[in-house]
Amino acid sequence: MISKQYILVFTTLAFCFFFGCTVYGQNDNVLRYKAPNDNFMDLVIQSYQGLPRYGELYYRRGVTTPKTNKAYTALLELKFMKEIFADLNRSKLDMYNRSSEQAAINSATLQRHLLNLAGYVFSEEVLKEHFCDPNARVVKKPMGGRPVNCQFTNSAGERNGLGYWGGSVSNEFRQLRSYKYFLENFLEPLQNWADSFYQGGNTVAYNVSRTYIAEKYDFKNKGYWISLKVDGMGSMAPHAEFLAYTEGEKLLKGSGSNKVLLPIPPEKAKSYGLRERMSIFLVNKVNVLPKLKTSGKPYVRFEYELEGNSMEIYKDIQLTEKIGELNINELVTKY
Amino acid sequence: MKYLKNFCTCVVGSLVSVVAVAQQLSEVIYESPSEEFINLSLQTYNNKLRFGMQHNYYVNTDGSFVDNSGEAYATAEKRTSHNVLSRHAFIELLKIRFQEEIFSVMDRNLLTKRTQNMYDKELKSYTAQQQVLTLANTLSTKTQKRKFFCNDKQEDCASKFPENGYYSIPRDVLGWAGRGASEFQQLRAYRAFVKERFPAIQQWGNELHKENSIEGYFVGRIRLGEYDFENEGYWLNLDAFQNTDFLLRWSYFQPSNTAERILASPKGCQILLKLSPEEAEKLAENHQFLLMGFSVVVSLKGIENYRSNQLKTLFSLTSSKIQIFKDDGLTQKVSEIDINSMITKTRY
Repeated sequence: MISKQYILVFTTLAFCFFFGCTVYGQNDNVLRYKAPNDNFMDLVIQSYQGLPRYGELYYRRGVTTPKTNKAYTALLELKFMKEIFADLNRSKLDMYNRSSEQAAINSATLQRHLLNLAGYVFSEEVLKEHFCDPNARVVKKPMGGRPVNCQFTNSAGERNGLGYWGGSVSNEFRQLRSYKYFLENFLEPLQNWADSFYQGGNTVAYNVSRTYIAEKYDFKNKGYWISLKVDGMGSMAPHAEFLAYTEGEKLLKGSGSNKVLLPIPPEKAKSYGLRERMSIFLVNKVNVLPKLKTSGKPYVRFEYELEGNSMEIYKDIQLTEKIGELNINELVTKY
Repeated sequence: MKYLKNFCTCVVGSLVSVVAVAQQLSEVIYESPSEEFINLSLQTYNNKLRFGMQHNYYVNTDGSFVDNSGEAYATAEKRTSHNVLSRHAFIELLKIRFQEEIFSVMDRNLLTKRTQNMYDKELKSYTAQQQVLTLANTLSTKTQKRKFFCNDKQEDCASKFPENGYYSIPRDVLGWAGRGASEFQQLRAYRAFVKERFPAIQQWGNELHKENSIEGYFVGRIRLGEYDFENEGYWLNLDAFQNTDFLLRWSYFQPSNTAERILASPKGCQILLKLSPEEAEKLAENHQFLLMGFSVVVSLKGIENYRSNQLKTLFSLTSSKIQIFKDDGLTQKVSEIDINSMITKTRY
């Protein structure tokens, strides 16, 4: 199983080496961002038509290329947290204490974020060296999983978040050593790497949302009535918001219980094999504008606006079978 | 007289004439197609219909309230009642062109009964009949009301509908043929109205702004917040307009360029009204509210579904200038802001 994956990665890497591209695979479009050095892993996220794909993603273990979404998002968040870095306490760890002061809250949030980022983005070797305490008591996982030590990936091959600096629950000296080593050696390269993304403070991407066919085929209007609800960015970013300006965009956001007509000629509808309640996927080109929210516990909110008026509708999450296209400004609705 | 002339060149083709009334409050009269129906009187600003926040008739130009024991108060009451009913009637008339779906299946012979489970057609007929009842109540003159909504066997029709200059309240929808009317009387009244009066109303509704767009002036009232000493001004919070519900609400605004998108930000746009601390203090001493006016064009979008039976409207701006006034009557301008050079922030 493992060797098979290696072969896949190897072949795709070779492909990219020869053709100098970032997109590879037939059903498996990804973007690969090369790490600045060996201490970090390359970032791999799914793509659609050469741009990052956010929202609903296609994942099947052993079939799709493993992604590093968490690392990608955490690195972006690092970029947009720059404003509060002045508050970072570089001499000691605040993150295990509670405070009501904004600067201390900022510092604790940053330290927690850096630790998460470290867990997602560092190579296995660096993690073993700086985030693993071989002598530590084995910690039982909260969800009753297998007690493990120095294991950084879950059973699906995705990185877990780290719990403690230095990989140690109780050794505060080890924790601080790990933290300081990180600040000295890794923070700057990570910040530089983060700055290479979202140049200009934004990026254009595709956001995929899952919705469903609301009713049986409508022979009078020649199409399906579909439900709309575009908001958030799925697992890509925990805090995301679709900014809807116009009537059509507000409909898309789906605050009401409106249904929208997706015109499909009857003979095509039959061949698509669509049914009531079936999931379908909306693809919107969006302009993503992350904003740092600074009051209280700071966080980065990924706000996005539509880029253009056109929306594609696919039957499958792989986005291979297109069943229609709608203009956001000319939606036909019914209640 | 000059005003009258200007106005007429603006609204050629509509069934309108105009009266310029005292207190610089101007109204436009939509004349009814026959004497069986009331004329509508709607407020205007610069010869355009005024949407959103309306002028309060109980306030004098100097900001004081009309003495509540005098003749002027009764006049204000009458005018308010006419304005309120006219606005209601205007919207009901505009809806007619989008109601073919229900009027085409309306039972013109018998009254459709409301039951627990109705077929679509029955429900449409029922809705249409309710709509006719609303229109009849709203548009009929007192004389007509005595005929269609009074049961002279039980009521004194002359005192029920006195010719005293007051108009009825839109909420008060009377049943056919008046109090205690038998089903025979009710049906006679309904059939007569549908046959003799309704076609004229339908035609009136269809001809009113038949291009489905109306030039107008949207007014929103805004509470004067706390003065911002750092930026020297007041922040005007656009999504917090109060009482802005004649035909338009702020959320119906459709931006069409970058500056307008800033105004329509879903995060709540606030515009800075620059005022020196001295000017601001003087303003705040006498005024708790400001009024913001936008030149707009309304588009009528139809009725989303016959069950809710609500007219859907959207609007866009026709000018990049926003006027800011101190008074309801829009006579004392504080400032004018151009959206291409405004200073804004969002609420969150």
